[in-house]
Amino acid sequence: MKKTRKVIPLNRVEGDLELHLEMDDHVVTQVRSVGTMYRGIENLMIGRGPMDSLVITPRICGICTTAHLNAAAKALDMAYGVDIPDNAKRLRNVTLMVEQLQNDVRHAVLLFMPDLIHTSYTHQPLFSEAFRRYAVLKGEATLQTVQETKRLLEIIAILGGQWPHSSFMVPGGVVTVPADSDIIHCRHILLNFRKWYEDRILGCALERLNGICSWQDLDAWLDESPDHHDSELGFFIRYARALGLDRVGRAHDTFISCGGPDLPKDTAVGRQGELRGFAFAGFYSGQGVKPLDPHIIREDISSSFFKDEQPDRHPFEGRTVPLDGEGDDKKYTWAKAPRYGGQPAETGPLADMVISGHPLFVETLEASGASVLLRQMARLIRPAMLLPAIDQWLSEMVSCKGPFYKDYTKKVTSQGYGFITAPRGFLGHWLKIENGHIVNYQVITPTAWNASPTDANGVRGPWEEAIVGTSVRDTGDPIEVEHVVRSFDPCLVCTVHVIDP
Amino acid sequence: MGTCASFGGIGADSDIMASGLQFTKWEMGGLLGQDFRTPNGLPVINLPGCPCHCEVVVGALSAIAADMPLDLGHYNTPVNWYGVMVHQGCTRNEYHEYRVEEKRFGERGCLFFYMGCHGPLVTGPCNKVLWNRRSSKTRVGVPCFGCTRPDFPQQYPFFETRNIEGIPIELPDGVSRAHYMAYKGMAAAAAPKRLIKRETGI
Ligand code: SF4
Repeated sequence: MKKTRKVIPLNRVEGDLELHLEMDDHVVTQVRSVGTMYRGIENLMIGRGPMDSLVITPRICGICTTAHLNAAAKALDMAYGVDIPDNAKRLRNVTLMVEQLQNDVRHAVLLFMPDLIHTSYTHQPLFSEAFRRYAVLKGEATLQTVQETKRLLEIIAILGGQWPHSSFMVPGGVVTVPADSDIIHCRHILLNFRKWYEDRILGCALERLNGICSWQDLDAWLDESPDHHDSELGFFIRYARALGLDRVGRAHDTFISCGGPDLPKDTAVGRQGELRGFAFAGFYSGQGVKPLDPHIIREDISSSFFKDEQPDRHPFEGRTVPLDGEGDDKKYTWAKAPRYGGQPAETGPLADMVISGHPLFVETLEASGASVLLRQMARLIRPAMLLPAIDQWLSEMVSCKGPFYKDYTKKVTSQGYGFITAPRGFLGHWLKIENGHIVNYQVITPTAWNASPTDANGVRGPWEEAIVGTSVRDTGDPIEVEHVVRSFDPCLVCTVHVIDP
Repeated sequence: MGTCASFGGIGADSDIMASGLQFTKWEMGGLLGQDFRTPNGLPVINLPGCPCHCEVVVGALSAIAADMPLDLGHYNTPVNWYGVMVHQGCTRNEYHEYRVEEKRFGERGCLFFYMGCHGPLVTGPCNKVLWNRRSSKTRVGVPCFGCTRPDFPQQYPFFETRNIEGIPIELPDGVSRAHYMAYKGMAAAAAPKRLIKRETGI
């Protein structure tokens, strides 16, 4: 047996990620997922005014900036005990979901697909077609995706001033009072995007897609029309199957989601019925879905370059103290390891699909477990769940006259948390205020869940687990491993506890 | 490019003690030292902002690629984009003019006196080129946080204006306090009803 070690730095991720692999005869036997940079954003928050989190935390990430803003605002809403008006919920949700839309499509087409035109696939019958679609800066789908998602983000600028890095959500609601004409522009932009998404990504109307409940349905859909077969979704399914991506990348098959956006009290959007698709907050394991219990979330630092007399803590008590010198050889990353009731959990669009009970995903998971293909499919399909709700909330902002902001009384000592489904999954902010200043701020990002290192019990994080066992053709260039990590939509800037993030 | 690369930014006051390439906050120096010059004799050209506007990046790079002269102003920023105040072009300018100032969110007036807006204090093209071709923070009611300034993020709380007897401590760039107070008093007295009632459609 030939043993190989390989360090692969991953590009096209936000931040710095390395994978340290050990392979035995072309099969990965051990992996360490290494966040290579410390930012320290949490420590930077200490001593600041509570509202400063609305300015600092969106800057953790240039992609999920609105999600961080929303989490920070929700933590403050809770700390100050304010129940925000319906229109504020609608506006927050619309902007948050628009950010998800752009990320889902950009990740799928611009970040994941380029790996599928890797030189080791040139012999594949679908290679030249893939190249035509996804060649970097040239592919037809690539160029369209850049243009369409850029336009889509104008909605966030109209409602929130700019994307990225605005601070339009505040405790009590939002600062914006959009004019009806602003909403009309937003709806036009959304409609154009929806048309492109239906034509190009799906090859069918949203409604048709929502009728797919099993692989049989999906195969029938593929054969039903050339539009389906040749859409980005259709092509992806065909090519990914040819490459065997439906058989790699299984992690622990435990999933966590903090659920869909907060529903306004008076709205046509629900968790059931035609506009469904939103998960509730829950945890899925072999025993089905259980509601999320915020108390049993802990962060473990056994493998992280931090020191603490305790191996793990609840985020309200969390500490971020970097080691001065070298740690022992068990420590290998600047990311902490979030655990739910002691278990690792995967988060992201697939977790949302599973926890919301989407039959196609639940069925596949129960039969053969998660895979690269399943994760990417969830990401390509999620916009279909979001689009109708976004449009409904935009129109309700006009029809349901009402305030976007509510006054409240600040408390000098309090605490709160804000959970948000960010583009990559479950994002949590925990805030403690004493004497009018922040005394503790902890952030657990979706990638922190997915990229988490091995914990005190020796249990690997989700993508480490997903990588072990992967067969690799060329041990000098293990592209298969990259597919696995990429299917989690890695984002490391927000996960490493930079001397600031 | 960006405030971190220019001045140290978010990391400057944290445990990583970040500095900019040729400045650390307001001071010249930084990673490369104040004497650094490129082989063509250029200093570091700073494009601050958190984030830096994409049109500024593309514009500055295009100018350099086309060998066009790029005039540099304060902190070696190109005057084309950093010679204008953020406040210039804000749709709340008329409120600012007559001192119709807000103390709570969700209103249409100006954010300078109480809500911490840095629009008249810092330079940047936010209200000239607009964001995502559509709008800006101050237009929708988010105070400008001065993200292009060497001390961003400031050490005192955001969303509040530090003031003496109701007048901001930091006045618009280059303005004398006595004149400013006289002007603002008269401006408030002259404010038209439609502004006081926030009847503009912005
Ligand atoms: S809100 Fe700020 S930028 Fe707009 S007019 Fe007032 S001071 Fe100027």
